[in-house]
Amino acid sequence: MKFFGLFVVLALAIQYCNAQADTIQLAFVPSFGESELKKGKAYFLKNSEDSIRVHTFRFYVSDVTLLKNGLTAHCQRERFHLLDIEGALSILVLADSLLDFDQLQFKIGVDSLTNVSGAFGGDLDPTNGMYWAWQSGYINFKLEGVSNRCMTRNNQFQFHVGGYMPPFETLRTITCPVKRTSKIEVLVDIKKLVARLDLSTVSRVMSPGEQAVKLADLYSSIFSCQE
Amino acid sequence: MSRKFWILAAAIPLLGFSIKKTYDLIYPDHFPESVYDFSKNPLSVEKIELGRVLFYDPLLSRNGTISCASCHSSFNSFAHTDHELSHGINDSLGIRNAPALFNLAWQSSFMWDGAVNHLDVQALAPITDPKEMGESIEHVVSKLQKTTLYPSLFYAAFGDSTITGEHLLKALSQFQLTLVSANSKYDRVKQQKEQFTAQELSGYSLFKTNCAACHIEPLFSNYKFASNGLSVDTTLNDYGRGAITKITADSLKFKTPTLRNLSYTHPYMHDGRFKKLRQVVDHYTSGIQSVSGLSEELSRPIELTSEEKVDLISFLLTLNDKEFVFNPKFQFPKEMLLQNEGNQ
Repeated sequence: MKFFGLFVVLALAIQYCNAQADTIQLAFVPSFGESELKKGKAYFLKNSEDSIRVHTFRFYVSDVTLLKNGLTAHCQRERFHLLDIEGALSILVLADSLLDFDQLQFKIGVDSLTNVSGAFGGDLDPTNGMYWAWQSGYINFKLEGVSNRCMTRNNQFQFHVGGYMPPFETLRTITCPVKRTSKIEVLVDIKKLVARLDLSTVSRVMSPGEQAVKLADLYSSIFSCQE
Repeated sequence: MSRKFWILAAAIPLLGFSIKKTYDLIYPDHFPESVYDFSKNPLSVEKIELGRVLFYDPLLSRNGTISCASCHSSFNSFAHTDHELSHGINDSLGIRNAPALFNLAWQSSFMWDGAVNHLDVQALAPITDPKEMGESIEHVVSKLQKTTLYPSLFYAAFGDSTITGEHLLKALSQFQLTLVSANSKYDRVKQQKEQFTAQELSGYSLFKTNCAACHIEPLFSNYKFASNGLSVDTTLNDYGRGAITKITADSLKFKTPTLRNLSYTHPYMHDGRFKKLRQVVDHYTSGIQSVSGLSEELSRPIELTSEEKVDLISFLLTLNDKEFVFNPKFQFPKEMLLQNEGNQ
């Protein structure tokens, strides 16, 4: 009977916690400058002859953390999320409703330990088109489309950014100030990426290496939190 | 009452696992601990059996003609013999000789260049290579799901008839993990069940002096990458490990292969350039090219007389494991893949 009493206390405690839990929605908003990024839609660069269309845009967001005064206030238990312009674009963070935070932190990509630990399911399943077959490792960020600027077959560009081995690691951490609200928007502006690339010379990055690292270094300019 | 309740409560999570028949990997005492993390993919009879069926099923290739076993035949110790370069879908030629598959639980990287970092993701490489099976993992999963055979096999193995890439890959790993070759004459000598002949003993001594630095006992490889003084084949321009790490010093390095089961796995080297074992031994005594990055162990020439070469080879042949090569447990699962024969 002593155990039973403990059980009741535990059950009540769990219920109390549940009642206090609060969902914070982390919404990723792919955009092209001021406009919403839509699959296959043409976005003009300098003039109507100079455009870009995105056909695939997917990336991994991992280790979502909420911070207060630079210290971890909450970290998401579910570590990896595949976000896709054609699929899920938001992450639900279950946190205490009393939790206060002023910064959001997350990583773009999959960490090296996971990269060397075999096959996983769910968002990490290799059937999601985000895993390299010929050389092990996750594609952290995949952007494909066409632009007249690309001197390639059918003007295609393919950016498959990945790589976990030094010196070509591509996992990047984004930290940005946020307000304590139940919905946080993270803007993902592809125009900022395109503005920093010469599509006529760089249009195909599909393996770990220097080019992939350069692209990963641009994440900090394309991901920003709306305050 | 409360005691009974707790025993019952503790048993609930165990029920799900007790249905599966667990399988223990058996290997002799002179083998080191395996490196594969079995806690993340615990072996079960059902998963191994599913893996075996998948290994032999040409459904895994784009046009249904090539299975894993096409290039990894059990009778050749799961290697591809008689071809310098292995061939895949539509008779396409690759650039390498398919390596033998056994004792994989002791390896932490795969392929001649170590491009694959874990056994569970290895199968993705041949499935998607346009010259091997020319498929995509997504399409393999959807083809398997539509069969009458596989959803029930996946259910038996993983408790879920919805097929996923993860389960497919883990089942393939399980079958390959059971491919343990540890019953050669060498192993029986180590277990004091047999004795080497005088010639084999002389060869063993020569092996220890000249070869054992890289081909470490009892697996007969250090599973590291090295340049063994082969000049680059200019028709292939395969630079091995260097293309993966993009480090110049890794150029022309390939993984040290095991010396077990050599009688079944000819031709030799990553590009199958040597048909006979004698040619391999001759390479080490007189054929080594002073390529940049040549393995330090080979910087001093290996000197062997003709008789010593014969002795060395006689020792190497004690590493053949006939029981492994002819083990019916590892062969084509006819009872599964040919069950509809004559009914179609």
